[in-house]
Amino acid sequence: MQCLFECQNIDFHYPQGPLLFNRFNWQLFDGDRLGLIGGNGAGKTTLLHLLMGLLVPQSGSIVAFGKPRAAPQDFTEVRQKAGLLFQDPDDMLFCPTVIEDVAFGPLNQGMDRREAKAHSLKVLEQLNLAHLADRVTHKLSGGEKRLVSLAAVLSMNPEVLLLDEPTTGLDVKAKQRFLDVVETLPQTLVLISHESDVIEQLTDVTFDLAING
Amino acid sequence: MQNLPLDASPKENQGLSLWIDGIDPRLSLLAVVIHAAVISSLNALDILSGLVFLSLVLCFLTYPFIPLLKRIMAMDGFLIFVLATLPLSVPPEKASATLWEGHFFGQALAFSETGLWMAVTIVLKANAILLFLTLMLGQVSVHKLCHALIGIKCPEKLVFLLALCLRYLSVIKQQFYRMKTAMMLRGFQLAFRIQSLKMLGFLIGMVLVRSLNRSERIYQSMQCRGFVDRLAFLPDFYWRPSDSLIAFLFIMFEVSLLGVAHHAVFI
Ligand SMILES: Nc1ncnc2c1ncn2[C@@H]1O[C@H](COP(=O)(O)OP(=O)(O)OP(=O)(O)O)[C@@H](O)[C@H]1O
Ligand SMILES: [Mg+2]
Repeated sequence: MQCLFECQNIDFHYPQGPLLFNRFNWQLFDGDRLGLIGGNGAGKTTLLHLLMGLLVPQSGSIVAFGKPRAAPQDFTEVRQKAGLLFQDPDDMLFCPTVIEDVAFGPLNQGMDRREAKAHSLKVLEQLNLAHLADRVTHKLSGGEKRLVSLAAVLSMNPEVLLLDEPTTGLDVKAKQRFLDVVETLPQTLVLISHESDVIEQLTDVTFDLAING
Repeated sequence: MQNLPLDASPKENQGLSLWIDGIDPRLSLLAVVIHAAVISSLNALDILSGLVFLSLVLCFLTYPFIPLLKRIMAMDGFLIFVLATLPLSVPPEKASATLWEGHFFGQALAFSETGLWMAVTIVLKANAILLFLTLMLGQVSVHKLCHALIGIKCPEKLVFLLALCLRYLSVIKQQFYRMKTAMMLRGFQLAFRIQSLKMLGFLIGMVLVRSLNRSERIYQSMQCRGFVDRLAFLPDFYWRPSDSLIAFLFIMFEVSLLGVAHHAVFI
């Protein structure tokens, strides 16, 4: 089995913060559906940001998709292959309209405008969101925002999905809709959640950061 | 649909507002720019007041009365200062043009007629431009406006900046009001006391800190989606035959305006 992400002896702390990861080792394999758990402040969000190169460990190395990644430009490829869904969808939806937001990733991947637009529409259709395409992003409901930001991640065809508490703040119906959508996705998955039913429905194994971090 | 923060929504299903809504936003934008340039070159008071009157009538036909009135008053509130101070600071052209003379804290002041007419001209020009802007762009949604700016070849970076401002203004506003409500609920009262002002300072400071954090997170999320320096806008416009006609008529109107004002002879 192919190892997609590996943390080797990672040390990390925020400036002036306590040591959050101490000689931390962790691996993610192709096809894993992993639930990342641990109390508030255990470092779950931090771990995902380290994997995407948004934060830099003080020591140790991160191996992603078969290559060690250290310099910022090493992560360009990682960001093409792994899709991170942020905890707050308002951070992800920065374009005026939904279709533009979903097309943002594909355009950066080098598609031309027409191609990107058609592709984004297809992704929205797959998630049953085609009717939202021309809506203005900040006028969406919380559940719609969450699904659209998922579409924005999926439109880049990532091999791995990193979802940071995707169901917090959703009502029962919106949550079920989201779970049903994610359950059918074929990608390797890392899911952070504090809700045991979500972890149970979407993942096969769990990793507790509070114990292992 | 999101309307520009600068105006209220138009009257529902009404002939003129529908008609203006149907115009290609690029044309509306260009028309506003051209009209503003033409008006700045005019100095004839009769033509200017005629234009103000015309735009005023059209605006009142397009938008509901009260919100429009509020907006005009907000705009003219600033201009009152111009009207009040300009005559004081412009020296009269001839001695007879002085309307009032006096002393203010030992300073000699003169209220000149030249200055008064100058102030009136400025007020009329500003009103004519802003009313026309309201008329043409008041019901254009924010994202359409951004697209139109791209359409008339504004630098994408500036348009992106505008789009981000408009996008996050409401988020920051919500955050501010949430924190303010939380403070109120815990017994905070705004008064002119050190403690109260300090708390207000904290509130404003927190809004700034959070906005900074949010901008960092947005940048991170952009990076995660492969952002380097290219920006994504997917404008689609439909230039219709009627737009060409409108453009033609508009240009004729502006040219004749210039002609009349500058006494050019066409025939
Ligand atoms: N930008 C930051 N600067 C300094 N310290 C931070 C920053 N972000 C997080 N921390 C600290 O790092 C620790 C881990 O934060 P992290 O966000 O990774 O936790 P988490 O496991 O995602 O928690 P939660 O379940 O509450 O989202 C926390 O103690 C937090 O206070
Ligand atoms: Mg977190």
